[in-house]
Amino acid sequence: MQILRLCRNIYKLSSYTFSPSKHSISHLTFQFAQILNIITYNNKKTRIMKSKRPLSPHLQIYKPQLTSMLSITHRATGIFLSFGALALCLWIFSTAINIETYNNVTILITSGFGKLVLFGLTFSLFYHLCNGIRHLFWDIGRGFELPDAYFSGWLVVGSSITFTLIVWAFGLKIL
Amino acid sequence: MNEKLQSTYGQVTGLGSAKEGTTHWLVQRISAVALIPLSLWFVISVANMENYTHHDVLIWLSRPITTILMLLYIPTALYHGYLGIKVILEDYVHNEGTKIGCIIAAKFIFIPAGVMAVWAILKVSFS
Repeated sequence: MQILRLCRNIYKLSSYTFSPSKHSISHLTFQFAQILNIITYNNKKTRIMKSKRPLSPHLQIYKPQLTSMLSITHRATGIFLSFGALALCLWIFSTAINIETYNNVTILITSGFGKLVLFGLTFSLFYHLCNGIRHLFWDIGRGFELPDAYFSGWLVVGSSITFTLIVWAFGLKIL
Repeated sequence: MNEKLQSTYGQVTGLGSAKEGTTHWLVQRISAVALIPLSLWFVISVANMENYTHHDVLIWLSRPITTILMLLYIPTALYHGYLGIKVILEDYVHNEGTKIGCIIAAKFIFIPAGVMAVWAILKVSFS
């Protein structure tokens, strides 16, 4: 432990004065410190002081913005849809078992609470789908500019609400 | 990447917190692309089901196109959901043991659900 502390101090000192290049002494010291660090990795004290990485500020520091709110909604709808997918499996399973089970499940689905959940799932699906497409565009490197991100964000909000209402109007034979 | 921003342990292993490189990320996007047409088809189908009886659902589910698309849709949706839940658990559960336990628990829920659904679709389709 004494050697390790010494090495780390030498490394810290040297990295302040000159940057570690391939053949410098500081690089060798750095490598040595690295090896010792791996050996003593399981030591709890070492694990705590292992990183110099800066931590990003937490959510409550920031003022809520459209972009961050859409991001957290993407996750929330994702979790909700995962439960929806599991419920869908149970529904299909109930149709395959027998008519009584299916009818009991139908009573649950067509109740007020059931319809509310279904409406929530419909909105979640369209939101997650639209915002997912937005994410796919970001993945190919498009739409990162701030005005673009805000425009696509509002487009996601508008289209997901519109699609949800259209599907429900269509389903309830209003349209 | 600036090597000073990585922990020394991170530099040695060369992988992020998920320990598997970019595979997870890529599979998540591919399943997302597959789910765009599949979920649109599914929502439109289900929106038509107001006042469906048990018999109507059986007829719907045993049509070849429905069987095939449902057999594609359910596993893809569950897999995509599992991948998302895994990322969320990796982000918010900080204790390593609890994290692995939660991920395994998620697997133990998603896989049986998928097997149940696939069995049900095949049963309805072939009877």
